[in-house]
Amino acid sequence: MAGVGHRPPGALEREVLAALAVAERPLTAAEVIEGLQTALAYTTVVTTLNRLCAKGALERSETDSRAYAYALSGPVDEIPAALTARQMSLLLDAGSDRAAALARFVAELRPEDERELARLLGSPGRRRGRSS
Amino acid sequence: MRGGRGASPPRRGRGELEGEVLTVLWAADGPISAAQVQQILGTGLAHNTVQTILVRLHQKGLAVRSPQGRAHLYAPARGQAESAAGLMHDVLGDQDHQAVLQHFVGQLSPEDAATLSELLLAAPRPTSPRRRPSRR
Repeated sequence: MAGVGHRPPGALEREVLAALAVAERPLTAAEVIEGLQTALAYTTVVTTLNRLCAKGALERSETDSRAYAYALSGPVDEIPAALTARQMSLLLDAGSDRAAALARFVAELRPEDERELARLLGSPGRRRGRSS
Repeated sequence: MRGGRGASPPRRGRGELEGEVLTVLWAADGPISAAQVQQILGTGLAHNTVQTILVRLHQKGLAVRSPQGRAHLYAPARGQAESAAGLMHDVLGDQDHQAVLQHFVGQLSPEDAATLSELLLAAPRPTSPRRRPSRR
């Protein structure tokens, strides 16, 4: 089970997230490796863990042994939604004209999504900085 | 291990990788090869995977390509805003829209939130003629 190079993209992330979800406590990279069913290089797992941190799916904290411990940033069933939202934000960030991208995004929204967005934006605490 | 351990780990849709690759093309100074995209991404993606994503972006009209030896060089097609919005919808896909939008709004800067609010107020609503979200 060593052929790691060509697993489908995202498969390793899913395995790592599953291992953390099962553990229900913060794990170091070494502990994550123990929880995986495939033998993976330490650096591969650390890279994946840090990538998931950058995406907001994981949080990391320093342990006594100075190794980082990683934990899910929220309930496991909310992580797909959080990752998707993060990806949408990154797409918005990557373009040169955020307002134009948002306008286009809104123009293609389903009516029920439009209502939902309006509701979310109109809710208390999400209204700071509004210009009207 | 998939599904066998009581957890429901997220799936990474195609749109996510397409977005990442397109972002690389946007940031590049000029047309680049699949190998360069792979190098810039630096996430351990197989060359074939990157190649497949580039072909898909090309087929969707989001990237243009020109032959370079036996390979191709890729550049983003015009219309960043359209491409970004299209991919935002792609990643949203068949996920739980309500949950994703909630996270998305939570991540917005105040400026983006204000922009979005104004857009929603201005948007024509052919199927559901509402005036504006009620505020309490």
